[in-house]
Amino acid sequence: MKRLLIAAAVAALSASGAAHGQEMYGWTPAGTVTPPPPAPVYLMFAGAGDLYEIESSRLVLETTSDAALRRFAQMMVEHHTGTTRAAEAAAREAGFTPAPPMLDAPKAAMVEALRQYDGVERDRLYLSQQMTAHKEALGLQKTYADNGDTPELRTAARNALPIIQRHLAEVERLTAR
Amino acid sequence: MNRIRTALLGSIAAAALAACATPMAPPPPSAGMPAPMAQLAPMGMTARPDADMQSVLDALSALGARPIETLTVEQARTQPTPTDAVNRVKAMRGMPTAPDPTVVATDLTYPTAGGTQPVRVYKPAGATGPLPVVVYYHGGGWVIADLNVYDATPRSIARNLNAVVVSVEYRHGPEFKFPAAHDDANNAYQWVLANAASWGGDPARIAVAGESAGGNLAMNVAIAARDKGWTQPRHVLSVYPIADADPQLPSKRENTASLPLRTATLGWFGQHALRSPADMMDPRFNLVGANLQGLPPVTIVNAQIDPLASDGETLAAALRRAGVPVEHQVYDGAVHEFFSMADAVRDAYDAQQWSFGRLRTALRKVTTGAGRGAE
Repeated sequence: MKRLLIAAAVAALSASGAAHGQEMYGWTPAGTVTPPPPAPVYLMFAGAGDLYEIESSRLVLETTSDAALRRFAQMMVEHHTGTTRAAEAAAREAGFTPAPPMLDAPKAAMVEALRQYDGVERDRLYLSQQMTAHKEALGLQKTYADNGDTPELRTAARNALPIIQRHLAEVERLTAR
Repeated sequence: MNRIRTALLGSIAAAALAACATPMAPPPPSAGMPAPMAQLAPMGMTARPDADMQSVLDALSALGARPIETLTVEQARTQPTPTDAVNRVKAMRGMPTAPDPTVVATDLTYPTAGGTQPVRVYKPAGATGPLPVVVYYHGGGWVIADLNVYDATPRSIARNLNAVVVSVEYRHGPEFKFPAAHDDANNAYQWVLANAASWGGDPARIAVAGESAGGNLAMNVAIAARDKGWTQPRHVLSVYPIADADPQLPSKRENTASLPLRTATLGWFGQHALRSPADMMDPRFNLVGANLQGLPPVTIVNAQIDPLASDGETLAAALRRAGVPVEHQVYDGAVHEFFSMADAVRDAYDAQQWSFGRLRTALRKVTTGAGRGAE
């Protein structure tokens, strides 16, 4: 099913060029996005990722009694607010008017799942989501930094990479405790 | 998403999508998506789990379970299980978490390898008359899990088929490596043949079933029964079996980040369960390379988001080539271990209804070849 959707998306892209309405983007074995998304799609994915980080971290800040996790969640809110601003600035510089970030359905479901749990259970689910979310964010930024179609946004993606790598290392450290 | 990929007898390319009626309502969607937009597939998974499946995975994470391959054997054996996650979800939904009381379970032991191993005999309360018998082998990569973790499936078989179900414990690695579990599985089957009548079972109407590593054991017991002249099982229900040593199969390349089983977990199980990687080429592990001729009809159930999904596909193809009647269904949006979760996951309910229907037909009290293929 997924393969069919991707094949259809690739066909649609190559046929109609700029259509980025409902395509399905997948992952290469190397962990990069395929096909490389055009600027508006990249902005949408990156914005959704940042917004998920902010909303999920705020939920954990409401309930956690884990000091290390609290510091991490606060850092997520600050850094991902920053990466969204940087991407928006780069987009305007490149002549785009970026849409305000919006959660996609899977990320909205992740935030909703956190609401179902409290205390240490919410902490654990948050950390497991963070592992996945940061691996995907890393793959997205790598893809755009290497293959993006807009130079200003490629720079923004390159600048986001070390930040996300640091976050991922911190998630791994917190998980291994 | 209740679409089922069905590949029937001989038609390798056939992929029929069927929408199912819904006697059990799935949970409401967790959040709406405002407008059609480009979508990003989940990383390291064949597809995204269905909402009810995801809620079990969320509970598993919330309980503190970690990817098995990051743990020691002791940690992996004691960490929260998918069964615990299902109970957490049921509790959140206000559903009872106690085992179905309409099935009575009795703990016994069977002799094997100079000692004994536990079995749990399930029987519908108040059932009378000689009942069909199903010997069930649990999963856990031959390393983890036990009769308690896998209580739901044998209990459900007993209720749905009005059958005696014997759930078999066997020796695990790394303490007892391959083929210890396989030897025990055979000894248990012979012991059940000899003792089933004492629990009200009819040993002539017997089938084998198993999940994951246990799906592999069930296949091997049918092969041993053929080779050694024991009463053959009338049917084999093999749920996401370990069946193919090829590490490059599509589902093993795709499911590097799936839970509760991912490709790296298979390597961890192999490391602890097998004497050496050479055991992977033993036909008892690599069932697709075994002599499969003359086996009873086989039902294979797979989850789409599972490194073992392709094993089911190649095993089904190998069985067809050997002339064995086989039906195989892949449940889209489901993950490894989904099968036992009929109370919480819609695909599990559907998979049980379908596969238990085939078992029921095979075990019907009709003379000469009942259940041999016709359905």
